[in-house]
Formats: sequence, C-alpha cells, structure tokens
Amino acid sequence: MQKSEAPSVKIISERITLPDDRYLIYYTFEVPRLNETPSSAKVEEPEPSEQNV
Amino acid sequence: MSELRFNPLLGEWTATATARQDRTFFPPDDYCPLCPTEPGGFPTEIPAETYDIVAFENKFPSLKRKPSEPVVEDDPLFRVAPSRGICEVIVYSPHHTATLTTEPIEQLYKLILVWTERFRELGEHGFVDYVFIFENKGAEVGVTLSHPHGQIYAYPFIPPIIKKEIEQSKRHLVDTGKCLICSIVETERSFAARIIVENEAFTATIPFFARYPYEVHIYATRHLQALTDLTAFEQRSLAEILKQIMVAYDALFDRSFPYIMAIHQRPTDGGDHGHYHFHIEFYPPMRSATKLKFLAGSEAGAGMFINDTLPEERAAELRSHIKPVFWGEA
Repeated sequence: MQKSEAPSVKIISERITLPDDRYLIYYTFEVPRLNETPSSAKVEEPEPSEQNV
Repeated sequence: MSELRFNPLLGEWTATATARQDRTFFPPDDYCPLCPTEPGGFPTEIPAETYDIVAFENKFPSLKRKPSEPVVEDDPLFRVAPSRGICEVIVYSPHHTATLTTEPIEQLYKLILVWTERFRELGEHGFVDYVFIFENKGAEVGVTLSHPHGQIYAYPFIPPIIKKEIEQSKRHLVDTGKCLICSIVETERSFAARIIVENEAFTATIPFFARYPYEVHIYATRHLQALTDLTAFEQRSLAEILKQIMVAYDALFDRSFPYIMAIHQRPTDGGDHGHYHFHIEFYPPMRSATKLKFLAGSEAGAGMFINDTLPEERAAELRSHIKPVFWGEA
C-alpha cells in the first residue's frame, strides 16, 4: 500500500495506576476499514424542501 | 535520593539520582521487566498478557513528579533544587528481540503517534519546560535492557544543547532573516553529496558539521517546531525516512547498529519559539565495523569533537544501503 492510500489511524489510551503510584498507559490503535467514508467526506442527506414534501 | 545541582562553571544543571545505581542490569531473557506478564509467570513492569505500545513512569527516575527536598542547603554559589520532572519509558513492542528496524513500518508510525501524544501531555504540565524524547540502542551506548524501548525526560528547564540551538537559530535569523535549519537543508540539498535519502516532507543527511562518523540528521522540509505540528502525511513520511535510515544502519556492518536518537523540538515553557525547527539527530558510536568512537580528552574535556572521517564519504557509504519501504508488508 502506498502512503497516500493509508487510512488515518486513531490512537486510544488506557491509563492505570501501578501499586507504587506510578502511571502506565496502554496505547492501542484503530485503523478504519478501507471502504469506510471519512466523516469529513460524508454526503449529508438534503432536508426535504417545500417542493418535494 | 535525587536533586538538581547547578554547575556555575558551565551554567548547567546536573541531576544526582543515586537510586539509579540499583536499576535492572541485563536481566536474563526470562525475566525481562518490559515483556508482557504471562499467566503464572513473574510480574513484569507491564501487568498485561500482551500490548501494542506502552508508556509508563520510569521506576528509577532522574526526575520525579513529587521529588523530595534536596539533602544539601541551597547556596548562592552552589545552587540546589528538587529534581522535579517526569521520566517515562516507552516500550515499542511486546516482542523481546525486536528493534525498530525489524518491526513493520506501521509500528514506527504508531510510535510517532505515541511520541506526539506524550509530547502534548507532558508539555502541558506547568513545571515542564522541555520534553526530550530519545532512544539509547545497544550496549555500546549504555543500554541495560535489550527489550526495544525509548525514554522521555520532561525537564523543568531547557537543556543546554537545545538552548544553544535556539540561540544559534535566533542569531542566524537576525543575521540573515532566515531559519537556520531551512538554510542548512537548502545548502545540503544543493550540494547533494551528504544527503542519505529524501522524501516530500523530510531530508536525511550526514551534515557538513557532523561530529560522529555516521551521525544522521533528519530535517522537516516544512518549517515546523514539534511533532504536534505534523500533518498525517508528514507523520507517515517521517515513519518512512526513519525506517530507511534504521535499515541502512543495520545493513552497514550487518549487525544491529547502536545509536542514540534525539528528537529536537521546541520548548514547552510557553515562550515564542517560532524560529526553531523540528529535527531528529542520530549519534552512533561506531566509527567502523570493529571500532568505537569514544568521547575522549578533546570531546569530554574541551567540548570539541574530532571526527575521524569525512561526512561526504560516510554519506555515500550509508546511502548505498538505502532501500525503498512499503506499507502493509508485515
């Protein structure tokens, strides 16, 4: 896969406290399916107008 | 016991951190503290059967969120301060024998996302003036745990090398009206002989002024100050060029190549650092397949480095090992 085709990755963190009061953060990553439409590119359904009601 | 002591001769802080004398030193592979904790196995630092990337506070820190008071009295000449800051360990992979070179490029990309997140979060602390992300790789640079990992030091001051780079950048801006690193990139590109590899967003070079034989700098093409300024395209481009340099390093002498990797970003002290330019520096200790570059009299005692090689020759050698990278090969 070329770089330009790579989907955006979402980073997810889960923080825990260790017994000695230090923090530890698990990072996981969510890769959207390639056929998912990016939210910014979603086409909004038009509001029904008076003409087509 | 830890505290910051000011060196009036150099105008720099030194941290004393006596607990670090007891830190884990090359444990057997079965007792690696950075591996996942197996059911019924010994508890490692990471209480999970598996993980992707983990960040945690260092068990043997040089700087602490809640430091104790210094053991010596403060003095106008011999200034002392609590060693306030944060030291983190970033574990790159659950695979004990992996390195960033052997991990797929996707893992490097994920790591860049984690670095960005850590820079953002640590820099938001009021007591953190500088977030320094780095990796020590290989026993030759003092690594005591072989599991792939890096570190972050969140300092309560701007460390000396960054301070010097900021001052030099300001001076260059006043003298020429240009960003210092933008000027370096422009000059290296026009000369070309020291360039190792380029992509649309980054340039990797053994710079004209390299102090180590295989010292590589990766400069952002766009004038930006920190990881948090990178676009998604630039994040991927950075993963690609980092992977290419690391693979070339290992290919040089057909071994896992030791290095110190230092990520140089703007301070997080709230000041205006728009003239500063994000980049990454590698300092490998090898000067040949069998010889190490030691910091000896001139380097350690006077601060002047002696490079036994020519950057132009070493760049040609390293460039010959550059290979294309592809996503989704894992």
